[in-house]
Amino acid sequence: MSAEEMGKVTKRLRWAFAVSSVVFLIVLAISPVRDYLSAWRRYERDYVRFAESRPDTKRLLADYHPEIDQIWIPQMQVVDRCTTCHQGITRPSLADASVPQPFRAHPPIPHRVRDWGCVVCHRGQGLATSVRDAHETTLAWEQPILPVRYIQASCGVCHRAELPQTPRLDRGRKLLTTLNCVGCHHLQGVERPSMLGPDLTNIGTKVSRAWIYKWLKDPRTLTASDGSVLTNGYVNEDEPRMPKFRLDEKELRAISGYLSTLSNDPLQPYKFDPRTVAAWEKRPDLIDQGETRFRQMFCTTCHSLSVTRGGETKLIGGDIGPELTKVGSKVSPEWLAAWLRNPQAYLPHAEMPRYQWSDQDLYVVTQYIESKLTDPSLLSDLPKFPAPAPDEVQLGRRLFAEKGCSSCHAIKGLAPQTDFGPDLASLGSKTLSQLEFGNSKITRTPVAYIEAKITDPHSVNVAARMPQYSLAPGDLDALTTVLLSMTGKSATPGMEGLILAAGHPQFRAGGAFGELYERYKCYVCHRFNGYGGTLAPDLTNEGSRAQKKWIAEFLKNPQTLRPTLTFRMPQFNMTDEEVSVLADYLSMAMQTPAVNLAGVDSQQLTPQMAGLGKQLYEVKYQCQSCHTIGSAGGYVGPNLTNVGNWINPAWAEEWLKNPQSLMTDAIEPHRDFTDEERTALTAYLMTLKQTRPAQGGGGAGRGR
Amino acid sequence: MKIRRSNPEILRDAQTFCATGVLPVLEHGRDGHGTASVAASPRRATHGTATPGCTLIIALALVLAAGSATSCRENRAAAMPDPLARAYDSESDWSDSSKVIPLNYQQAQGKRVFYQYCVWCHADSTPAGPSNRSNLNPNPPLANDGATLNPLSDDFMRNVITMGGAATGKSAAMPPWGKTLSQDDIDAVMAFYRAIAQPPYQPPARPGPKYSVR
Repeated sequence: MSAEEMGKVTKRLRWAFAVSSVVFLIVLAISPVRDYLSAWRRYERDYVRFAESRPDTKRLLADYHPEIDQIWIPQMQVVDRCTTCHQGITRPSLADASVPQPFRAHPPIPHRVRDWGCVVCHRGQGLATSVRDAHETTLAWEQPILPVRYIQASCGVCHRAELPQTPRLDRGRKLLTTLNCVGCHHLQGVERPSMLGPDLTNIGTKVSRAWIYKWLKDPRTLTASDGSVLTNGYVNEDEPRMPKFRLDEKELRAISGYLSTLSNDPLQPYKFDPRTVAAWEKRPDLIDQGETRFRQMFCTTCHSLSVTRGGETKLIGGDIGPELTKVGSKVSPEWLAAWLRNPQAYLPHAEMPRYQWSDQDLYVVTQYIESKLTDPSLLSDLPKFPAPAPDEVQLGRRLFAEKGCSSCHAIKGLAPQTDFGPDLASLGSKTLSQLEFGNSKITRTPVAYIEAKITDPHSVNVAARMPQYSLAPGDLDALTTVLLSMTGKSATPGMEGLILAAGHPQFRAGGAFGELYERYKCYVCHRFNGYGGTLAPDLTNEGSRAQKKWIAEFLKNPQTLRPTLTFRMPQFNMTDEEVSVLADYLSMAMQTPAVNLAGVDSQQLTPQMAGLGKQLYEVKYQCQSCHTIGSAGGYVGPNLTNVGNWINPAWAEEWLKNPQSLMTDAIEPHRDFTDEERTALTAYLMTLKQTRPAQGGGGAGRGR
Repeated sequence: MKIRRSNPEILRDAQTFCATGVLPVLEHGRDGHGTASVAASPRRATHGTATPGCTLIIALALVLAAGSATSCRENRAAAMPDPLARAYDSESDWSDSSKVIPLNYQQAQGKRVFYQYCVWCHADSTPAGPSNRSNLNPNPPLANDGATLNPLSDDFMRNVITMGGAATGKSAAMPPWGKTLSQDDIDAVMAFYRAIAQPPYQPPARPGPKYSVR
């Protein structure tokens, strides 16, 4: 090879070398350029410019560093880089809505953003450094970001106990029990109660086959023209708990046929004395009298009736028992009388109290229900059903298990089912690939899946066994929220409480009181030591609060409450002996150590003190704004007309010191009375006595 | 002062996202990742970035990728923002029942406190039925009475709630709530009042230049 040729090669090589050097330099430059152009760097530069446009630039840039900002919470396995772009998240001066995102401050919440990061609540990809990666909802990320309206789901992941700050989650958790989701599904932190739907062992003695058929077809008897149910003005509050199952004609006939044959140990019908019945039947005012008794006994405290006023139909009454508007067309008369006399004989779990009925009351109320609470057209559109054929009964019995009926309803001799539906304990953390969408037209996100499933189960899977619930839009959101909160994570240490406990009585009273407590089902409305209903006042400290004589009189005649209340204690027609047992027990056993009954001697409350108290009551503190004495005053607090006969003076003093220490949810404000003022007010209150206590009193009921 | 934005698409996406919770569908590839200054993390390991030692082809591909990431993106109409879909809670407008007012976390807490303590006198219907408002003289203002409450400063309202009417020259029928409610509760209630006010409450203007996005 000549030198000339060598030179040519060298020249080519030089060119190649020059070009590859340039390429090499470009390649070297790509990385820093890409870094410079990356989204988060742009946001950081923008934040600096933005901060410079604000009056408090120095404070806004005090701890600014031009690099990835990371919140690391090793215990929760959270690495969170959101604050790289969301620079202003913790700066109160950037809370204004005019501040452009992503720099706006987070609205105030109980947790510090710096301590908890963002993805603990919002989910999404905390590690990502681009807008899409961090927030994307349509890809199968491990944790798709949570739409803000379901954000309360994240509160529920750690906070198992009741959480007043999260109304949507709370509503959802209540719906889980009222809709009996736990009948078919295993749910995180929700215990299965002993009874979900009514026991159907003897259903054949209670209702006709036609009624069962109609009920199975659409389990609602009251519907407005648009299909919604109104209760106390709120749509769907009293939705029947039984959902609508998809059953074809054959299945409907088979199940209704099977159920109508169930009468294993029928209720003994109550025999009225035929002579008395004959005498009563001649009286035309019988049904009116029945209605009066029905109202006087305050059946509507637990049961609602549909009332039409001004063209608007509403359900008025309580939701502890079933709605009764058309019950006369539902149950047989013999069953009704026997049930009213002793509900537990038909249904051992029944929450209905066993009233003391006189023959006459029982007869007139039964007559009223059978003749007035009816709808002649209820079953008129149905064909006449013959007695069910044996193969129909056989098929019905099989379908009862196959359709999941036995998940909620017990029938003696039939094995109950649990976990009929899929386990939902970790539904909230399922990724897209773990959910079965099939050919449905649903957006492929876990949230859309849950929404579709509870709105219309068949939109997800045409063969779904899940029944159709008709929920208001707000309730759909609430239910989606609570399902998203079930991520299958074990409870945070220190917060292991159950979301909904099945409710085991912590208060077991024995003896004569215990018998009456069970008979009159006091705990369905009242709370005792943390167990019981919330409709009526908590009686845990009743002995410290009320005078024994007052308790006894109230039990005898409980109609002494404020006329504005819809819910009042039913009249149980107790005997004097029962009254004295209950009053003795309540006043002796239900006391709180916070009130020393011997500490205040009512003899030492002088008229001078009472005079000063009256001044304070009427002028300085204007208690009459909320309390009524006689006929003047406000409706917020209880009526004080008869307070001298009702409340123990020691309780009054303690209450005036700090109402919330005696009753956590008391509305009365905690005020700064001096000791002298407190004694004076107590002295004044103790002078307020009514000679005829039937008019005043009060203090029970909602909204105290 | 105005800001020139190197990539307005990203901001638009972010705004769309913040308003609706939905990102526009990805069509042309995704943004580049931050690289050099990122601390080591489990996920970063799987997202290895180009180093200068790559071949010419990879380098060219990267140049193209970097280019596509910063340039071509179609303009897409932003989805209609629905403030209710993002709201923590909501309250129907008292003066127009067809409207619903979205509430943020603080306002929602205020709603809870309001419906326990304040509703009895500052509303015309209450959870228990009748309102106590008509029993009182002077009549307490409705919670949504913007004409009366909007001109009051936050400090004055906080004082009335905390110390009561008698201490602030108003009716003694308004009790002091300072020992019953926490400071947070009181601030939350005020935020709720401001949120439902009709006519709507306008916070006092802040001084200083406005930041705007083109």
